Amino acid sequence: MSILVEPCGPERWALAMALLPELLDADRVPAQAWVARLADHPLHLVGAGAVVTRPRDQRRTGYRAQVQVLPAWRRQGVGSRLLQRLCDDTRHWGVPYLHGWTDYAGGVEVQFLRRHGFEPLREISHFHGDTATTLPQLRQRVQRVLAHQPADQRWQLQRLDSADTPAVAALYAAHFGVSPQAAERRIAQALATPIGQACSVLGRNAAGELCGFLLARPKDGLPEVDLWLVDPRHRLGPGALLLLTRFVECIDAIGAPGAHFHCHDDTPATLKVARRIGARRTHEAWTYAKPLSPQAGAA
Amino acid sequence: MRLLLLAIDQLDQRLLQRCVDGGGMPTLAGLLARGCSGALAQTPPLATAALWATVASGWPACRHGIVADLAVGPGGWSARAPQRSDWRAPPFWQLGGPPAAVLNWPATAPWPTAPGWLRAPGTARGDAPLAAWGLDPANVAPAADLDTVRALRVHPDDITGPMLAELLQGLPEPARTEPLQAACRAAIAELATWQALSLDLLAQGCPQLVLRWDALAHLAAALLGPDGQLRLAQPWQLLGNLCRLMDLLLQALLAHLQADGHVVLVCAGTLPPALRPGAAGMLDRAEPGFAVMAGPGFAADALRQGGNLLDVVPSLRSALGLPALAGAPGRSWHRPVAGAPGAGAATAIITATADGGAVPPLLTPADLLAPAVGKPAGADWLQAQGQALPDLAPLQHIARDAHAQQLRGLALSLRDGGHEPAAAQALAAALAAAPHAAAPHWLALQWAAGRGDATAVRALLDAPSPLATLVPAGDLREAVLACAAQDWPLAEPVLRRLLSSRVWPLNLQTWLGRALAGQGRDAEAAEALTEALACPLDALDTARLLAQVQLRLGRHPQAEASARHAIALAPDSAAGHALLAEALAASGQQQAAIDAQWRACQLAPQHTGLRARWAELARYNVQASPSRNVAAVGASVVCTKRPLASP
Repeated sequence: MSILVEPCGPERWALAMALLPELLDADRVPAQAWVARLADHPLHLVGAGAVVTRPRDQRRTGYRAQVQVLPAWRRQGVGSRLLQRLCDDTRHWGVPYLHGWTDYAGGVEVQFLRRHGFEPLREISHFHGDTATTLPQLRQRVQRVLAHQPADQRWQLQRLDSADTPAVAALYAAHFGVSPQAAERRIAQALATPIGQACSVLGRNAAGELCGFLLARPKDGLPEVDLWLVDPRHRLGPGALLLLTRFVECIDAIGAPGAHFHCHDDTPATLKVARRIGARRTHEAWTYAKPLSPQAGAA
Repeated sequence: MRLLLLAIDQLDQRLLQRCVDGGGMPTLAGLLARGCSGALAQTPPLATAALWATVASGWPACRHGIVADLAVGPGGWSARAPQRSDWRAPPFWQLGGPPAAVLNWPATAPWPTAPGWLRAPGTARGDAPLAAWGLDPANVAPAADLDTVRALRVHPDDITGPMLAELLQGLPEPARTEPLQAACRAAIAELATWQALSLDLLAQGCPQLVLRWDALAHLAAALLGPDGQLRLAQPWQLLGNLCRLMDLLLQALLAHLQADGHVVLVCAGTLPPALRPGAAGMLDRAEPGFAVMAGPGFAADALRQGGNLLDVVPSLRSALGLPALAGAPGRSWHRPVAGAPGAGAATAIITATADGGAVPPLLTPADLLAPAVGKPAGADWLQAQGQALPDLAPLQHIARDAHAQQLRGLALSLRDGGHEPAAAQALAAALAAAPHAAAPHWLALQWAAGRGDATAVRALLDAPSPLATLVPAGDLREAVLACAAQDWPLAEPVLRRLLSSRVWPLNLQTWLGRALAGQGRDAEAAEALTEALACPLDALDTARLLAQVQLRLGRHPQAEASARHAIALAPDSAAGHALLAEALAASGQQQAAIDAQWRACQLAPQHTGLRARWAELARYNVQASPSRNVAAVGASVVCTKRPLASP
């Protein structure tokens, strides 16, 4: 059966979203999207691809692409045609790299990306921490740090609930450059789960100012750190450690044996914390990017 | 260059005056000295895209079709910025005249492939790192210019310390925070981008440059915190510094203007309320805009009485020697110099023979794409392939909000044009599209109270809607209910109490004027309404009511001035012209009264009352002085032989 690849157009926007639901949570409407369809049925889509023009990555900066093909139409070159279109389009924007949508641990997705010139860029380390091991370590470290901190500079920790969403979303949006609406959606999704409600925490200083937060979400039945962010103005101090400690106390309180978290290879402080509290590295994944110009490739 | 149209978004008239008086804008001061200048009423809606489409087309939003900053995409599942294809009346640069280069005009992408210079790099803002500063190819036409635009534009990272220091001059050190410096770099980079592209186009011999600067608007927005409050104690100092920079850039552009060239500078849009002392939220009327027009044919006093954004296109066309747009509501401030082809608007009232495109039909709510309901077409097939449909509610929500914004904008524009039933229909649709949105409810309440519909007002206040918070039990609710019931003796003391308490998001002074006029106290009403005109809210209603009150008081010259003010605010509304006719007739200016009434008839041909009144004025005039009134008789013949065209 013949397949056509063509621009998505707003009239097929919702169908493309059905194939690329991740884009609904993107902070920016995709600049361009392509669909693959049966030649004689304009609305019978078999695949879609889109590029979001929010710059990603500081070192090899570029846009982010996602491609999806229905299982029955895979291995017929549909995904390749879609990705090729996205690469051609993005080249006209004048950005040096096109990034894969997320991080990949291996499998057919990595083979697909490598076949199209994508190269590994960043390593993401995934950890698992047992509550029984990590909690005593964290408490010990916190006590040590707090001993040197004046009482009036200590944070007040509390559970993050929906009333805090606007302030937390504003901090998240300002730090990660996403839209406040997208930030609010992500927080609301996490807080809609029992784990998110029980284990998400935030910290305020003595003036009541929001200094940081840790958002939890469920993954494989266990809590996972979804977002862990401290306002840059309050990073000198044990705030991040306090948030993590309270998070582990919360998972202990709900009887969960441990939690997942992950971090980039360019966040050495977080990696150090993970090692020192006895967290176990479970696996690694990589982000991938494709140079769109010879200059970018040479860099 | 033969013509420069420079549009500056959100340049406040007071700020501009302050800079000129302080000697900070010598180029502009020179323009003011050799051209005409004056306030321009801004026809609603005040959405950026709608305002600038009004300026560029010469038609109100309900005819040019850009009614909000968002539009619903085909299929109803997406919201997008208004595009070129949404215009129902073409911009002036597509209606003859020399080829135009157009930079940064809203709602113009994607550009059609057209000859001449047409560039609209809408992504001049450096909100991405320099390395990933993409340029949407859809924003530039012809596509061959993409590389030129990419090479010439300036990124905030390119802004050097001395340039930044110039802009931050006068600000104390603690105020120069990192976010403020970033916003200043972005503003300078934007202006530098447009300047580089403008000069490149002028070097190529571009005869007509249409350019919009929105750096001031972006900088003003950056001065506000997430709560809408100012984050800088001295905003005027900083904005004034930016004006100085703009003046320098203007000077460089004017150096390319030919001796017989024209320059038209238009300021429109509204600074955020926090930057306008005394302004409350949800304003539907901005401070007036401002225009400076210089060149042959622009007499110094032409704009003294003020005008409307709708007047820009007639003035530009006249300056270029092009005929007036048939039926367009605006007036030309340009008087053709001897030997040049004429396009005066004063005679266009009767001799509507000008060329330049047909009158665009009125936009109706049905013309706006509606958000989709249910599942998208084709979803069943996807589901049959095992693909789960995600929750599409966020898409629907965005499209619904965009639709409501459009409907509200359309309602405002229709009402200003005197199309009340269609406006009410559009507003009802906006309320249905976004029951959670405060702005359409607020508007519905004001309109219902204005037409004395107490039942509708009570229903709006009692229904579960955002009005419960906006108009809680108390004086404001009592005043609105009393005004709607036209219980003026009850309304008056409550309104006086409210007026002495704080600034409200509606013009209570107008309501006080209504209350006084309703009690037959016309002299006091005139005083209250004159005071009400100082506030830009409800200015149209205020001016019309004031004209009526002054007519009743026998103050005919004042009534004429108020009617002219109402016409400047809404040139395409028959009511203003009819009021002017009455004022002119009362002061014995019969011929002018006939012309004004004829204009009202043209604008609302369905109103037989207007036509009857025109015939009465014309008959009286012919009887009074038959030899002097050939024009009236001629017009009468035209009128009876040919049905009035629907404007």
